[in-house]
Amino acid sequence: MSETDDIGTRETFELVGRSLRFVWPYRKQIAVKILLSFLGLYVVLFLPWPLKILVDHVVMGLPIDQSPTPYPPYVLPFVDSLEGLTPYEILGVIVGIGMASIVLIGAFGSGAASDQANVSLEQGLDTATQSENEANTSNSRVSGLLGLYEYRYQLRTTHRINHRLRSDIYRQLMSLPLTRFSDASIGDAVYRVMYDTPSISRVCYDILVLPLVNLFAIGAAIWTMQYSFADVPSLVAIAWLAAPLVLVSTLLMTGTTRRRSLASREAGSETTATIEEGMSNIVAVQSLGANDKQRDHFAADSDESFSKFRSYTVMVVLLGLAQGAVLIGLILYVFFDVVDAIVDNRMTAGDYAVLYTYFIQLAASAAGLGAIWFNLQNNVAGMRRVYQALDMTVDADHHGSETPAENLSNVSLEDVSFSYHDGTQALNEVSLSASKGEMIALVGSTGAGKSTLGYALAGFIQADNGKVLFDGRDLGDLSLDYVRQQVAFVFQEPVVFDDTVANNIRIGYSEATDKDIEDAARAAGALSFIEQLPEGFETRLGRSGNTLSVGQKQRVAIARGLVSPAPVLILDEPTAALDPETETALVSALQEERQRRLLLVIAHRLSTIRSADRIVFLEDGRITEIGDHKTLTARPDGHYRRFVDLQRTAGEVLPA
Amino acid sequence: MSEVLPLTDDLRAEPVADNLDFRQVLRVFLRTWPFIRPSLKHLVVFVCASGIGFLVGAGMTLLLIGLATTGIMSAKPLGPIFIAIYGLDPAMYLNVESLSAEARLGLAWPTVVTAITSAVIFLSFAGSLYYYSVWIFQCINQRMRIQLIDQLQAQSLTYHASAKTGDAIYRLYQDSAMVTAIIRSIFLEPLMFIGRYLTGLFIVAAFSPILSLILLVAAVPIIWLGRRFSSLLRTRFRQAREANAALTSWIQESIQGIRVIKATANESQRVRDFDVRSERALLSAFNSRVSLNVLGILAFAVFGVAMLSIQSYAAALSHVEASVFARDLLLLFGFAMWNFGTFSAATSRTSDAVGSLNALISLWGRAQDMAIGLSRVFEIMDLEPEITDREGAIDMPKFQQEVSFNSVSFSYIKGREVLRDIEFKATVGTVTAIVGPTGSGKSTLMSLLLRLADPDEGSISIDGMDIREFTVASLRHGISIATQENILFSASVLENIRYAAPDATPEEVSAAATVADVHDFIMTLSGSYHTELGQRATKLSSGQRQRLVLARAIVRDSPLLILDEPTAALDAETEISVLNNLKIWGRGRCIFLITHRLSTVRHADQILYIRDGSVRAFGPHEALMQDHNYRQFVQADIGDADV
Repeated sequence: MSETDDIGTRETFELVGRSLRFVWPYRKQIAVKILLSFLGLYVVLFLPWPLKILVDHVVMGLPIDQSPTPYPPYVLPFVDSLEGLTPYEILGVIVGIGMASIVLIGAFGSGAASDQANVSLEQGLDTATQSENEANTSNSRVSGLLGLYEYRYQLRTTHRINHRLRSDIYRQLMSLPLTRFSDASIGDAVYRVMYDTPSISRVCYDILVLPLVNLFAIGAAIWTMQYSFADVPSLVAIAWLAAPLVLVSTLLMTGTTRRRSLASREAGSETTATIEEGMSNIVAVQSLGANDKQRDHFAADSDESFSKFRSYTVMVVLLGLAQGAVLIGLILYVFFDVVDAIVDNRMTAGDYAVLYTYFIQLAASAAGLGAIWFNLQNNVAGMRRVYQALDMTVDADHHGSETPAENLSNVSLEDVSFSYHDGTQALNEVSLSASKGEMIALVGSTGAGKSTLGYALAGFIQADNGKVLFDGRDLGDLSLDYVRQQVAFVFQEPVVFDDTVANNIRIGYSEATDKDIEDAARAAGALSFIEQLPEGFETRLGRSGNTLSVGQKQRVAIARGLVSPAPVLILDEPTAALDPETETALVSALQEERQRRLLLVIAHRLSTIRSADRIVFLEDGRITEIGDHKTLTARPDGHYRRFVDLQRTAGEVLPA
Repeated sequence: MSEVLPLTDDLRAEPVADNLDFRQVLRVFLRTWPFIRPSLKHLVVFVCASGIGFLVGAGMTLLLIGLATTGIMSAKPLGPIFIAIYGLDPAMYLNVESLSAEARLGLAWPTVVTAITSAVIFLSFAGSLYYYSVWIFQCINQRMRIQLIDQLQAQSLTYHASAKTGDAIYRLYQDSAMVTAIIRSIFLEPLMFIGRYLTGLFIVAAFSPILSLILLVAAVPIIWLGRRFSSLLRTRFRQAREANAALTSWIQESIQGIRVIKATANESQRVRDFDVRSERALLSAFNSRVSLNVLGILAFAVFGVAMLSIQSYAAALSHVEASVFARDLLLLFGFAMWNFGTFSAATSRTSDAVGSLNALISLWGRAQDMAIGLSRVFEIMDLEPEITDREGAIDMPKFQQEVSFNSVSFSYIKGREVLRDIEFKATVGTVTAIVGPTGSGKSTLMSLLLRLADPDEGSISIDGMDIREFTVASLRHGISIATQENILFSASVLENIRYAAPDATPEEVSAAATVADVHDFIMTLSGSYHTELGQRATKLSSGQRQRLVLARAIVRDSPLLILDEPTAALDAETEISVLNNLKIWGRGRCIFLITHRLSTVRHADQILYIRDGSVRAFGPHEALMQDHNYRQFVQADIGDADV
């Protein structure tokens, strides 16, 4: 992955735009979330005032109507209702309000409750482990019953969005052309599905909810200060200045931070890939005595990932320092004026408490605004990786929508050429036509292009030149589903899933009955060992089917191919890991199969090859000979004949 | 594929009790000690620095409250400490009934200077301490990760047959990260929070013992909440983690098996299954988080009620200007009477104390999640590597004479014997072919020689010594193997070949490649030996990969060589060439060849024919042809009668 290059502002906006379009179906939920946030905000704005009342009118004993600063309209009715009460009665009312707000919003006075509302679990010190928390937060400012409702609501929505994204990515991964999987590693793919997806919902909240709420909070705070503290002009001025200053200090640092965050994520992904490789190849690692080597490799990757994270941390710390410095500077700047005002009785001690709370609100909201850009940059890397995966060309892009009603009876290649990404030419102007009822053997030395030819026929790869025709129709016009239904493929290296044996075979044809499965297993020579498994067909195979030998896995894979009713069955070296007895049985089973389909067998072994109707001999990506065993062996200088001779006399030509 | 629910299986497969009590949780945490110890020095420095920071900060706050609240806002006289520190005129600030306007204005500068000083100290201190702690915890985490991967790799194949790769990754990544969090949350933070709580308790007691009492009482419901929620939280966190691990594993399997999924048009079914699993994982995350949230909210309610009581009581006291409890002591700071300054000082301390308590409980909630993470980590750490060096194990001496299998029996799962009573010898300079039907135990037999597993009965000896007398490392070092599954790593061709022999020179590598008949092919690659192979090296054909794997075994130059189906994917011509080369290269060594192919078998000096886990025939090819079983086996090959 070459993603370490920088992401420009323009691309950032494009990514954001795309994310917004993605969450459009969830606009209602997001609107509700915004409403909830505003509700929480009102409550938070109201909260400092009971504290002022407590300080001024209870502690200091000032009568209610003698406050030198006016109460803002939104608390005035409440304050008026207190008029004429004794300090103890006021205290009682304040306590009552406090109790109510503790239950409803989990907050009172200046006690902020957002820590409780945003539960986050302990996380590791690198980016991978943090995205999980990111997927599970709400930026609620309140707690209590309202906070709980808001949290649950937002979590549900976030999860829904993430779920849809994950599913999309997973579906995409499933539809990528096979050749893609040689480039992108598995760990990387898992990382994308699991850890990168939360970036998108995060960004959408950041864009849709936070600016509105924070701007409103800033506006309300400025307005209140202007209303109540108009007598101290510098205070009003600073209220206006605070937000822009905090914002600027944040924005100055985003570029570097983003690059470091990106590097941190990359390193995390690399580490995952290393573990993944080590674990899935454990047999090789152990038997080659390479434990230490693999461990050191992992240690180095992990160390790198940690150090990248630390360099990211430095940025975060510096950012915090910058904001703190700005804030303190501002507070100190107005301090003298406030002192004057208090000494002159233009302000009260309670006002000081309100002011303090509002300043914190103001700074927090501005920092929140700044953080939007910051988090956006932080998440851009994840977003880009997600979209990169979503944008890759998938198999279906090479296919049309035609789905002929009749089953396939003839496939043909016309001058097909194909090269892999690295430039290796695997097929060179290959032409071949084959019909139902035939058994064709593809023969040739290693690397001659036999498997590639099979892939081209099955639509796994797209020919660079030439055409693949199914009953005369171009493969590209046919729907992918149709193609897959028509062609069953048994791969050389067998894959079994962590599932029961029966289900592993049934993957080939989900409607297969138990009897079909048993028949297929018998034909593949797998029945005897399956019956010996503790629970027969219902035995669950472990990871990568490690409880089976390679030969057994191969037989399960062959059964999977046989159970499918597809008119074309391609077997890539089906007998390579089979012992001769099983092979003989399989070859005779294949004889029967050819009655109802076109069989294409890629093989080295003569016993398999000789029973084919036609043998296609490949060399360096070209077809050099086509014919049956007799015809081809009769050619004196034939390529195939030489191949057969070598195989038969393998033992004799060598020195003992 | 349709309806398998591996989640429930996974839950069953991991028998960790959900009803851990506090002591057990603590014990789990104590197990992290070995990983912490190397960083202890740094941790102590960190704790001391944090403690000093806190005390300095608390002192600064009291000074600020005194200056701003008592002096400027309430116009009350200051304590002697202020006079001393700021060099104020006692006549103006100490021995007066209330401060003059001029005196109050005069306090503005000292306040600003104190604020700036404490801000500078706090910001730089907090910033560098944070970075320091990140570094310390990463070191600890790294230690644990490495130990985990070591442990996983050291497990015998029996373990790996049933374990899941995705799960392993999840454990390494998420769960080991817990360790760092643990030290912070279980050792450090509680220490600090309790310290702050107690400090608050004492200071407030000086103001009013009743306030202290409220503080003390508030701890009771909070502790009760913690106890009440622990087991619920643990259960839910566990489910969440496991659902996630199961999902990761499953995604990985899908990608590994992508070819089959595509070939069988199973993509959409697979996507549907994914939906179910992903939803399940998200739901369990939802449940656990919401529970934690509820705990936080309840704890905050307690916190709120306590604070509210303290504030109103303090407000009432201030209203009547009652005298403080430890008058003589607090007089020093100017807090002799209850007034706004005293009110602020007392409530700021109580708020810090109750806040610490509150933080402690949310920590406890999260600790439940950590306990789960840790117990999963220790599950791996607790696995005794089944294959270990015996006490007094020696390095294997250079192979001289013979390898012998003495009545070896083995089973992966109890009661299902894979090998029964295997008995044979192989001497230096010979090629022993091991043949037999699929699943007859050929590969297992060879993995016993490498001690990837140990026989249940019988023994294997090299030059007359039981291989269990040798260290595992030296044994494996003395034996090369080319495995049947052609595993290549994402590295260059060169690196792949010398994967297990890092010291091999490029000449040795190309010599090995020549023996494996892959040198010419490598030279056709764009970067020859330096060509990078992608993960799983899918660009190469099986035959090419097989020969690379073969070269990897050869380059180690060990006296014992195991080749598991070395030519299965090779065409006849290449096979002959490879076998020829091997024959020459193998003089003076002992080669084991697991194979199906007759053409390969014929090269062997002796043939071991295994069926159903026991030896059916043993001897040279010609002699064995007299054996009915073996002849039948041979004649089946190629379906030709020309043998």
